[in-house]
Amino acid sequence: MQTFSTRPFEPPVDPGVLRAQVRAFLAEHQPAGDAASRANSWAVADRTFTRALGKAGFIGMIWPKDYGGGGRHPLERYIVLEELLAAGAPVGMHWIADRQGGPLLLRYGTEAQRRDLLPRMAAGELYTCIGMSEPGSGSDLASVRTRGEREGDHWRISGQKVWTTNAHHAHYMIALVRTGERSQRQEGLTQFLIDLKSPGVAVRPIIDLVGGHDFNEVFLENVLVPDAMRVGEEGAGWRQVTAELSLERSGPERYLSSYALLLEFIRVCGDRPAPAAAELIGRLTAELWTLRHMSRSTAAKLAAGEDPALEAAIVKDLGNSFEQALPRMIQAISDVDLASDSAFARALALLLQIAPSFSLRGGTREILRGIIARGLGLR
Amino acid sequence: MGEAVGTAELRESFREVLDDIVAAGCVRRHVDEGASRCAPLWTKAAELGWFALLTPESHGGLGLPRAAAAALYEELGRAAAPLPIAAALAATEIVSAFGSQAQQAQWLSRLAGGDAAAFSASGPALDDASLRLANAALFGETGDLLDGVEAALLLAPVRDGENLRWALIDAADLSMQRIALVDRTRSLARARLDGAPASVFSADAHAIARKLRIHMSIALACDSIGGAREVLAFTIAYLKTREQFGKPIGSFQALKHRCAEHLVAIEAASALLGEAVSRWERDDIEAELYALLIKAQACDVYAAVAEDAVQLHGGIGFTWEHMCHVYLKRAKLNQVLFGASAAYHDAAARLLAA
Repeated sequence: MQTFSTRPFEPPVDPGVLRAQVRAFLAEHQPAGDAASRANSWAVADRTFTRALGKAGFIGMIWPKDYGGGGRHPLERYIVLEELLAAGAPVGMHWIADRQGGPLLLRYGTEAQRRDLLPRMAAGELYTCIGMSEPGSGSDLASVRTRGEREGDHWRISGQKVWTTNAHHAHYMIALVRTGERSQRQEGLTQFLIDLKSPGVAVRPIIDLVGGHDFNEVFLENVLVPDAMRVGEEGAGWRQVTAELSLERSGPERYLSSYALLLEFIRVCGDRPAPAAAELIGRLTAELWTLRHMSRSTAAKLAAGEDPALEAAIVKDLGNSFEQALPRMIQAISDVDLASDSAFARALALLLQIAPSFSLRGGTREILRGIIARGLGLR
Repeated sequence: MGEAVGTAELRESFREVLDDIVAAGCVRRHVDEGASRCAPLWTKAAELGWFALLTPESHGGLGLPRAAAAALYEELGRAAAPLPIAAALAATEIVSAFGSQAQQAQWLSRLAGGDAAAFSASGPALDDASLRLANAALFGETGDLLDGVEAALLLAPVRDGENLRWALIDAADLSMQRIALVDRTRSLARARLDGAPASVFSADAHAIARKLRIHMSIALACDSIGGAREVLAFTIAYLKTREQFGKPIGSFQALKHRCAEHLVAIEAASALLGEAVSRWERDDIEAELYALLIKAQACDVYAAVAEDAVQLHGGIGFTWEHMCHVYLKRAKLNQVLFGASAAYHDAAARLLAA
């Protein structure tokens, strides 16, 4: 049995034309920067760039035109993402809205929610963050304790979310909240769109190990959320969240986080790389092409309406391992000038520090391996 | 493998002092502030005679065996302590072994009293010595000086016409520019020499370089093993308390096996380190080979443990607040200080082939 059957990547348009359009856009709008600023670019938030991207129709591309989307094919979007990430464009501001927020509303949202939010998301003006993890609920997501009590046509929500990327930029948090009994675990969860300007919401920064601010703690104290901002059915939160994870796990961002360093390494090596460097470049390229093939195949399955959860877990595990090992492998054969301030040295230093987190975000390596093993019938 | 009684007691005393320093928040503050000198630790170390460990008794030192220095380096690594002492002890060795009476009189008691020394951490190659000697004065620039701005003494290879020599330079006679590193427990510096008076060693430059390299290789290996043990210890403590799915995450096989693998790697490196230190202590003919091997192995093990510790801690390991990153950054720097692992493997292979 082949677990990972591949499916051809056949977008309905000429990819070359679309790629040229994205590249022309980037030539005009991508902020100047070097390899260090292009590394891990899907975590880099840039409001100006996101607005320009929205204006150009590259956010919400696959959403219906009625909701401000582009009505394009999912594989066209995939091509655009590949181009943006390979170029190291700062797509962090709208990334969650484009990848998860919008699709969630299209699947489970009300008509009013879609009309209200999707056009602004597609324009690059409205941002969302994901409120899943809590201090006591990381890998064990079903144990969330943030609690919602119904009060007439409102919900009173209290609790704490953590590791909430870009909560300090976002307008809404898509929060997973316990609305049923604790003993039911996975059944008693509901998703809400929480306006982060609501009374009772406090967003506090968590500074990461490079001194940057992407993560936050979000405290919710008696926050009143209209029932109209519930997403999907009461108690359906777990099913909705797990369906979303396939979208989150197989995209090109799962293997391209270190790509800017590979490009810079190739540039620094020049036309005549030393044998060890040439061998490493060849090896990394082979892995990259394999990953790309697998990621595109998974995208094709998603586009065809399948739910390739197992394939997505495999792509993420393999992709994270690749982007995590890449800086280490390049360091191992490079004669690094310790005091250098070159783009190569800075990109390498940055990635060596943040790479350990690549196998944490979006589901740890251990959780993914559990999913893969379950796919093999091992429980 | 037991440690000599004297060394074990010394280690215990180092550890007690460093535990107090850590408990007082000195290391944490140093990292948060990006300071260049950790004064409370340095003062304490000088008072307690740590800088005098290897200084001959005739020069007011303790004249202890090198194993004492190795134990200190391991404890400093365990605490991720910002104390530039290894280069000072290495310089002490060089001045004791190769210095003239005048050089010894000028420097040994200063070093023993807590003055730091610096030399280039860019790797074992001497060929690119960039300082020129003319009329007993030095000209040029030299970089990658580990904790250079804190040093009172610079030790550098210099070109004297066709000859390559090592020289001692008083840091007061040169200008030093600090280069901050990702690892905030250490820094580099670049020195400009514009006619600084030099006191030149007559000994063979390569013999001095070899001695320095052995000393720093073992120092970094000790630092790495101490750090790796500490990281594994606090990671295991976390795995025992953090619960998911209704039980401590340390009870999951995927995680406890990884800890076991790290312990196996640390113990293997530690065994090789013990052998390297013992050969170093008795100036064994293969001391250099062992030093080269353990520098690469211990630093690589430390980096692997520190990287995985971030993953094992989950999100908290990725924060500034947690100590994980302090060790991760120290481990990554240890890997490249004085040359990366590949260069050490090459050098070891050359020795084996010779």
